[in-house]
Amino acid sequence: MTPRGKNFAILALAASLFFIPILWPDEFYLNVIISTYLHIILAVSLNMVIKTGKLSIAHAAFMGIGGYTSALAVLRLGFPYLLALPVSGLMGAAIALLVGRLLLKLQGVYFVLVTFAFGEVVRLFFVNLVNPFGGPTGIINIPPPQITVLPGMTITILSKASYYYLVLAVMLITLFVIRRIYQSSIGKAMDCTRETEHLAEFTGINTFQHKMFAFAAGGFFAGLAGSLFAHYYRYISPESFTFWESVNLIVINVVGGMGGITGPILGAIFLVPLPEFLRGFVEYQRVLYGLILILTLWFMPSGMLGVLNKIAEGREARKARKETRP
Amino acid sequence: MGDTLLPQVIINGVTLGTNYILMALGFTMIFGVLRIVNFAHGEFYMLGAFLVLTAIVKLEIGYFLAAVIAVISIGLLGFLAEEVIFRKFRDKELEGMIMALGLSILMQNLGLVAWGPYDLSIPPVFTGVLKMGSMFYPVERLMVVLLSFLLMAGFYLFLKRTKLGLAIQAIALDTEIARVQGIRINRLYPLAFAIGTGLAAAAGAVIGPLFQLNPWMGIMPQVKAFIVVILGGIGSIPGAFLGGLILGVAESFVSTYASKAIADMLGFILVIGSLLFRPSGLFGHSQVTR
Amino acid sequence: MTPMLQVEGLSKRFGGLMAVNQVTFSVGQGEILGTIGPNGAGKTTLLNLISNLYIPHAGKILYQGKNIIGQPPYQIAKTGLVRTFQSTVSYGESTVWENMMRAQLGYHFLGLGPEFLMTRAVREGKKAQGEKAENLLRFLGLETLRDSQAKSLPYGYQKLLGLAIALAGDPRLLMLDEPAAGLNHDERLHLMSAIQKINENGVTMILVEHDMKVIMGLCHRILVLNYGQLIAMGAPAEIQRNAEVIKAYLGEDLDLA
Repeated sequence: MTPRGKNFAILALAASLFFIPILWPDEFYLNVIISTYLHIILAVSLNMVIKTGKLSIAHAAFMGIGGYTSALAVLRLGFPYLLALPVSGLMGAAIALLVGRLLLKLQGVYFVLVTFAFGEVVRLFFVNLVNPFGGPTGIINIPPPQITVLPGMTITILSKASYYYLVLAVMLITLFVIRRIYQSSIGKAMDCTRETEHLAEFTGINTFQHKMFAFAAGGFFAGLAGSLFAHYYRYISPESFTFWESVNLIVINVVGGMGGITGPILGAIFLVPLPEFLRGFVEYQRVLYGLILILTLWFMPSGMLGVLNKIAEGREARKARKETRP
Repeated sequence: MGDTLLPQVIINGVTLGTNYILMALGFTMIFGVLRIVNFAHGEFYMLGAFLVLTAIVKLEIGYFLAAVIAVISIGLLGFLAEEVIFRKFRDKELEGMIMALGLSILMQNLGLVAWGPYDLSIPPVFTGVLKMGSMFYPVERLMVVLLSFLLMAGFYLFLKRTKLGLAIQAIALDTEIARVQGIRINRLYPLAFAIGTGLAAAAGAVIGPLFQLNPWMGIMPQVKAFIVVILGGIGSIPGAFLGGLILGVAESFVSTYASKAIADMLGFILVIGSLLFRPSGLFGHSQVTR
Repeated sequence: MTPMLQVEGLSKRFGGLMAVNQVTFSVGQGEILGTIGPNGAGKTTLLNLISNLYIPHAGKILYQGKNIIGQPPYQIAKTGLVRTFQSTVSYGESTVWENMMRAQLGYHFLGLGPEFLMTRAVREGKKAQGEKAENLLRFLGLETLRDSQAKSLPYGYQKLLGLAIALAGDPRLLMLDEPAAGLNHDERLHLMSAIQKINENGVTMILVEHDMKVIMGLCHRILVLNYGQLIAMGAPAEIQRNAEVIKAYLGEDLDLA
């Protein structure tokens, strides 16, 4: 497919998503899809951090930071939602910049371990500070987003369908921005940083800057997701942003494949609805989840995306052979 | 009250510390020798405890025999795990770590399927309370500390006095040099992993009777093992000893004189500080930053 | 004329070992300086110090008259001081062409904003980089291999690709870390003529090498290290006759002639 053809296909796909609540107004399915979209925002933004060679298990912590910021901004400071949302993102980015300066100096598994410790410190922070975070019980009665479209005309995003459009909009913006980053020299520099860091550094690439940028941008989008999460479920607690959440985002990346943004999207579409449709077998759900991770690492290290690419390559090769046959 | 509080706090700290050390020893060996961050270490601990319970209940044998059976079985399991699963990731630290994570999730939930979510307990082995001056100390706790010390001593002797132990230490120090000296790395990796997991299972068998058993009981000890190993230095045995002791006593103090909340955070803050400012820990080798 | 590089009293300690001990020398513009010494003499450490991979305990490094100690490596590369690595020569998974484009990334990066927006300056820069990539590949005779994956190339060509990558930033001082290691006779000749051509284009070079044929055939001057210390420096003919140098290499299987 030509680049222009590809862009057109993507736009068509994105446009078709607008029709889902109309064609499929079932509340249960909309809920699953909204959850999937939230996970896509989180998984793709984590993918960007991983793209610089840093495997972070603190991503859920930044989501939590965004969630609490948004809830408190609206409840305590009276922010309108359209302000609380970007502020949540900026808070995630700000804290990422602050701690990234130190954390990003660590390599390999040590970075993973320090992000684990950082994530736990953030969670314990929320658990222990009853004022203003509500301690272990968290914050309840978070109001739904109220968006002032025109002076005097305010929409309250209460129904699942309306929330769907809000999350869809944020997700599409996230995907557009990150895709753009990947296509630009920034994305290429990130690849260089991940693959062969000293070669990158010694050909003039400021690898530290790229790692900081990825980490901060990751924190920003995770913060946005946190805000959306908080005002959708109308309740947040430290339990929503644990280490296991962060692990889940990594699993989505591993199972889906980490090349580009398609991988985590595939991973999320596969893994997020899974528990919903295995409602009857709760215990076996998690066993299956662990098995999927292990089997993916063992047989399909490049994830679902890798498998799809191989199939595409196979098709290309067969076509080429047919064409060169006498 | 002030008279007896301080010694009590110290004793509690030391008791806590020995628990931590036991977990940390196996974990640091696996990390130091195989460079695997064994996220499933807590699950081997959990399985150890559950196997003891199952052996006592189903096979109707005594505690000590059950413990031995449990440790050997888990050791075998660990041997197989390295030989079959982790061998593929020997040069890929990050993938190996994620694989261990997958194993952890799998084991926790298989445990859930096998034993259910409700707390179970191993019938108490030792009863009674020891009175030392004006302090009271449950005999059970004392035995746990004693048994832990025996295990630690045994492990230490193994490392320093046996050929196998020395070979394992050599691999931890420098894999290339060990290979050149003729040490059969392929043979020793699964063995080292088996010993590490065996230690975790032993910890589970020893400490298990003190607490309730459930499929998630390994998570906290695992986290503590992380903290101790990072503080003490990865791959360092004396580091695990000292780190475990320091963490146990520090937590006991902070928990008593400040609050449990801060005690919980303490470990992680120490980890972050250690990784950033003294990455090789108290005794380890510096391989952490460029 | 200011020397391209001046190193004064450079020292680096690892634990109890002085890896580099009070080394002083200078490199003139347009020179090819060879650095030799027995195994463990400190040659690679010296290279790592000059390219700021390590921080020295003592001494000064003056590049074009300015002290560069403490500057991050990417910045030094941008000012024209480029080095190669023995082990990681290129981006193995990418094609030769992609390698050349990646090699220029750092030097022409216009900033996070403009690159994200893909401004006209960025797009025109990309076109210029494409031309440069083509020129560099031609210069080293690699243009027919542009779609081959780097790690599948024969070793000799991989080394040439490493040179091409190093040239992507128009270096003024190029430091090569054992470029001839692992090359066969023909590949070595090819490499030597490439280095010659690069030098003829005005690039000053420092060559860390074990291969005496390469050193003797190319270098204007040679610097000899032993146990971290500079034991001799001069023209190739002098070095070959130097008693200290011969003594240092005693026991090593080396043919200085």
